[in-house]
Amino acid sequence: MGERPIRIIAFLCNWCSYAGADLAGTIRLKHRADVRVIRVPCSGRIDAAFILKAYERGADAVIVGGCHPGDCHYVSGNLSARRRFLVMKQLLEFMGIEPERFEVVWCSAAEGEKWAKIVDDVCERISTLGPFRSYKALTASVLGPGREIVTGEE
Amino acid sequence: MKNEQEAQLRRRVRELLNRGTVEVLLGYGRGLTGVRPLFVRDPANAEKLIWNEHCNLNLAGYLVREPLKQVMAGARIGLIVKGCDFRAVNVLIQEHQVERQNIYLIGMVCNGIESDSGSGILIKCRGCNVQVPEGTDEVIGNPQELRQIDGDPFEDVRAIMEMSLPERWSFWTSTLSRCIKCYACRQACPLCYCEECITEKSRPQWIEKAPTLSGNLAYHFIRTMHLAGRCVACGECSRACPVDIPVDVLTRFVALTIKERFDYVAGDEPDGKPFLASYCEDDPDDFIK
Amino acid sequence: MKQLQEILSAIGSWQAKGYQVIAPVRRDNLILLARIEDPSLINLDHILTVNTLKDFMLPRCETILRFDLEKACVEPGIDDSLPTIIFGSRPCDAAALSILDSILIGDVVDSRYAKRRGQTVVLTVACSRVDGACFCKSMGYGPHDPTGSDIILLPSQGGYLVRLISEKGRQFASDVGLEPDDAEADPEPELSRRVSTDGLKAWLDSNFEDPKWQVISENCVSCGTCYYLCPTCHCFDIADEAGISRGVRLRIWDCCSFSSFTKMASHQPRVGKYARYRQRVMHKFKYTVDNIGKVACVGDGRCIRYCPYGVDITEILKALVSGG
Repeated sequence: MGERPIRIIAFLCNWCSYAGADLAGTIRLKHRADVRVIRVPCSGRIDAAFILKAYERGADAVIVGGCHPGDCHYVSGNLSARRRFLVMKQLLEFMGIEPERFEVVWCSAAEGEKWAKIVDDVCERISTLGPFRSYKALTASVLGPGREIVTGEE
Repeated sequence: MKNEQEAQLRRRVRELLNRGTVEVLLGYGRGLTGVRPLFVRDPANAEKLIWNEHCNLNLAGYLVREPLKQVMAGARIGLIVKGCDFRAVNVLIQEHQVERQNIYLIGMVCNGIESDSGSGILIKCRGCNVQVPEGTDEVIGNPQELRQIDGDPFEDVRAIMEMSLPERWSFWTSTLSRCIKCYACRQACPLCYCEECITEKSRPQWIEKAPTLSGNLAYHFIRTMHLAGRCVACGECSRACPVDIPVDVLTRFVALTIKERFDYVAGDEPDGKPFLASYCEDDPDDFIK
Repeated sequence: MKQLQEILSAIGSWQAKGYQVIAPVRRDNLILLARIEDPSLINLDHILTVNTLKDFMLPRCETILRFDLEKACVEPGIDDSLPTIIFGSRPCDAAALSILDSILIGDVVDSRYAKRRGQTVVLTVACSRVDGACFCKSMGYGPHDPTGSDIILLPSQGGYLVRLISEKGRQFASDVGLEPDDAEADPEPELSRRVSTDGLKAWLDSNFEDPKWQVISENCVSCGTCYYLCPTCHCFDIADEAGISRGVRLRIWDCCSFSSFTKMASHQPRVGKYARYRQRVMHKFKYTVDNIGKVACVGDGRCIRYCPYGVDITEILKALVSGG
């Protein structure tokens, strides 16, 4: 089957995780190329709507990344986000979504290697789990087969 | 049996209105399907108030809706609350939507609410620890006549937690496929008071406006997130739903999670900081890589 | 006279002729009108379904067109309307279709609605029971009223009498071999809820501004339950659901009680809950009367039954015209 590769969206904070991902590139670490990064000012900015929109548009998993506790550029954005992420993760699972499809990481600007490892780990697990077909089937079921609202970019 | 509590309530409301302690009072009146909200301005109409084991409605939401919202600034508003409803008032106070001194709360001693379908005391009443409301301006009813309500208030939530992931997914997608996006759950919720809901925003449009399955799932997921640490488990959302979606099972699951992981119950402390607007250094982080 | 079982057993042959059949079925605790494959699942032991025929004639979500900016193309939504039999809806719901027809197939024709209506045969099962919210009699219809039906089955001594109402109904009956009866039906059940519309139109004509509007709308919380369950409400919104370059344009229901209603035309002119509730009453009992000569209410009572806060349209109509 001509299955397209998995696609993972990562929302990374500007100050730590994004810089960490950048470092992974700068020091020429190799990791899987199935992740697309979206930079946000702070992990505190990441809303539940981001996650669902990513799934709707075809993401097979979402990673959110922020600074380690104590390192937040805005002092406590990541600590407020931590509570929200816990609730989100639990709620996704309560609705029947595999926990692997939503990962939270703390990754500093110096942790290029950690980032590369996380990308490989997540990609590996999502490859095993397969594409997020159940979510993609949602719109099709209302409008009828073949009439799904395809808004993602295939 | 004579309903002494109801008689006392009517007497007190008449007095409060006559004295001008409150200008308008919101309580329970009779409607076609049992109980409905009743605004009382004329002391003579206090006779129309009712109180019984079917007074399920949480009236706190009216404090942040028309017409009470407009009169809030000047007048003193009377509100009849059960202990559980009082939690919603507390969240509104905590979030600075309501000034405590602008409302006069009559707390009803409550022996549990009977379900309209005849299946006994509502799940939400089980294990109630606010049968005698504390912190209201006055309490009506006799605490001596209380009987404890046993059982697990999260039984329906746990039933879903016991399902496998595919079973949960199929339960929620089939249930939410019925959603017609009438927004009765949102409008009935005492804590959904945003002037403009995220569902109404179209630039960007986070939630599909159409009642597609993905739009419905996104709406209910995001609504549940917006009630995290705020939902007081009154069940108005599910009661209002015309197509029987157990909306409150979602918000109560989150309430249960927050209770177990953070020992936080919404509405218990009107002076404390809102759950999602605060943090502790040692909050759980076992899920973070 | 026919037994219900005889009629139900014929449904399979209608399906075989290419008709889709919409009928009341049980879903969890609800009785809903839905497309059925298996006629044995049809449930007629109900007063009224939660949803209405509007779900099928003016669906809550339909694709008007698809667009693709990269290919610079726009194509109309797929027309999936099929020859349809509505079986087992009630007289009030059929009457509502006659009102929608006057509005949507009038000076301006809603082509999608018109196409679906043209392909639909409404086979009503008249009411043997009513409940405290029903007030169809007061709106000029009744538990056995044939308005809007193509064929109506009237209860009679435990069975049903077939009455052919419209040309379309006669055509369908002869196609499938459904014989009409002229025996006498059981008497209509009595309705306890009554409201007079005498003087209502005149009052509405001259009392757009009146303090009563504030009072009668007090309990309303501006949700869309009454609109979405109403068989005659037909306002809609157009929504684009799009990605970066591709998307669809959908027609979905909209509701005058929402504070965001008509915002697409810059703003919601009805500031205040009372003004929005007034719009609902005015639209049903004045504007539609001015436009098509009919009240846009069939007395099905869903708005009363399902309102979470006990807003009662009959009580409100009485309050409006009363002297106080």
